[in-house]
Amino acid sequence: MTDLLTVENLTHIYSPGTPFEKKALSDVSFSIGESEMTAVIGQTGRGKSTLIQHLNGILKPTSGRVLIHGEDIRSDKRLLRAARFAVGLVFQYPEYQLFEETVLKDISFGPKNMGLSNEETERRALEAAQIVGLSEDDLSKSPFELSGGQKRRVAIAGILAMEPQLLVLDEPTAGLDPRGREQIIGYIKNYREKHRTSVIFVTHSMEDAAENAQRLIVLHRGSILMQGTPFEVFERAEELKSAGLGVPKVCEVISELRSRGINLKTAFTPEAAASVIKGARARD
Amino acid sequence: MTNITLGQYLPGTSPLHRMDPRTKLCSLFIFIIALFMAKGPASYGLCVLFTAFAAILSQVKLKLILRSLRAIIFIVLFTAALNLLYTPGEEIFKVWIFTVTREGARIACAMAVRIILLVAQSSLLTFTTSPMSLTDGLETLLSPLKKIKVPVHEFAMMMTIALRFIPTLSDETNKITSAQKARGADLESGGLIKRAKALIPILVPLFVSSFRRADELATAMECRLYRGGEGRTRLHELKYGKVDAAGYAITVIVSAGVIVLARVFGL
Ligand SMILES: Nc1ncnc2c1ncn2[C@@H]1O[C@H](COP(=O)(O)OP(=O)(O)OP(=O)(O)O)[C@@H](O)[C@H]1O
Ligand SMILES: [Mg+2]
Repeated sequence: MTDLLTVENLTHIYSPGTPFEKKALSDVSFSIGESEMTAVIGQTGRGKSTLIQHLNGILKPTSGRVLIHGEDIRSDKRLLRAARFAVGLVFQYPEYQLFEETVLKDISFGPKNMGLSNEETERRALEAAQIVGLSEDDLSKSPFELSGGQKRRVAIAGILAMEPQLLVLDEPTAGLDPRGREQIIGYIKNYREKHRTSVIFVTHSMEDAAENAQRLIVLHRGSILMQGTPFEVFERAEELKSAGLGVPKVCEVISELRSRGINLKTAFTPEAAASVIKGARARD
Repeated sequence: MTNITLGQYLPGTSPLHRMDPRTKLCSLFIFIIALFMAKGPASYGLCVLFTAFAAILSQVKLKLILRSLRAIIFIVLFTAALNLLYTPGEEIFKVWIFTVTREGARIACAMAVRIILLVAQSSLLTFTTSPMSLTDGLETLLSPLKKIKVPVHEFAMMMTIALRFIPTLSDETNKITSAQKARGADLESGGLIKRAKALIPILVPLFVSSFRRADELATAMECRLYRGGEGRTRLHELKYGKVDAAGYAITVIVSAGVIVLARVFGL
């Protein structure tokens, strides 16, 4: 069986041949399986946004390929268009892309472009709106009268309504308060459970990555520094730190306790840490 | 299509980059006068040498200068051809109804050299001067016009703001276009009306964000008590230095040389 998405030796150079030439990605390879949740982490300006814009063919690779179900999305025009719908991409600060008269119409823009019937478009739009917690009232409002956080939800709903096989979100929680962040992550998880969609999300928060992803991809200077389960990645705390990243706060607590002579297993979520510590106390 | 590098400014530290924008503007003006008074091979030769000297001094890659000349190659050829064929005078040879004269050939060459040097020099100016310092230079040079109530400062400020926001807006357009493409917007196919309609999802957010930016900028200017040019001082005062003295000296000497060669000796 082929993977849902495979990225092979992807290299991207911005403005090649000019004095502004900038290599943003070099030789990146990974693949994403069905219904996996993957987090992409990396310091600012390390190529995360560049990488995910390749996944649905918005950017053209300088070299390398992007495959969906084993087929190169650039091999013909039809596949490229299919890739736009198979991979739903929510951009960084997506609230600036809203344009329709009403929220409902804006959410329907994607499904309509897919050529779905009016009923199906409406069904999907309503479902997506409900998943991101928009009320009936909100749907008939102009998107421009909503708050920033609500706009963000409308923009995310616009992609969810396209029911992609792979949902990609670029820093979906940037600039939101803790509660707003939790809600957005909650909506994404709910959606994923319901539709068995694979999800890739970019984040700066190690906690978000540790608690929600099954797999992590760490980007550093345009190439992959590490990839694997949160356990595999956070074990290499020193390397992460030298790449300008950290580990979740709980990891630091555990390693601090270890250095004071308490024998503990690694844990990177609060729940896991609690049970590790409790286990250790019971043992002593 | 990415990055409209407006004014094609290339950051650098060459003597031409360090030169005051006023010096560069005035020198260009002086050189253009000399160029239009040039007459024979000697005076044109001096102009070519001067341009080559400036090009080397600017440390701009030859390839880039040639690229900016490529845009005008058609105009150069067209002008040269017209002059070549329609100047009456001593006949060199004749093909069908076209007569090539000695005077025609001479004028055609002169014209081609003139246009090429003109464009090359102007590109050197824009390659080595950021749009901002160019407007600063213009404002200062034109400031005597304030006496006759021309709002020079306001015009310069408008130009600065416009120039400042072109790259921002072009970035933003790219971002919005990508975001709408990700939602399946089809911008490439269909007839004229369909294509125009397809622009709505891009233009609406772009307008909204431009108004928001304009509003924010106005507020920021208000907060800093901006009240127009009256009694305003600058953070970066334009100051003449050694390079400027050298720049003026060389330009004036070369231009005088060109004029003397052309008008006194007829070379
Ligand atoms: N359109 C562009 N033209 C030229 N260079 C670009 C462009 N977009 C991004 N870059 C450069 O490519 C590099 C990677 O940018 P990218 O946006 O992928 O970073 P990122 O990891 O998403 O950062 P952040 O966390 O701040 O969003 C940066 O150094 C950036 O300056
Ligand atoms: Mg980014």
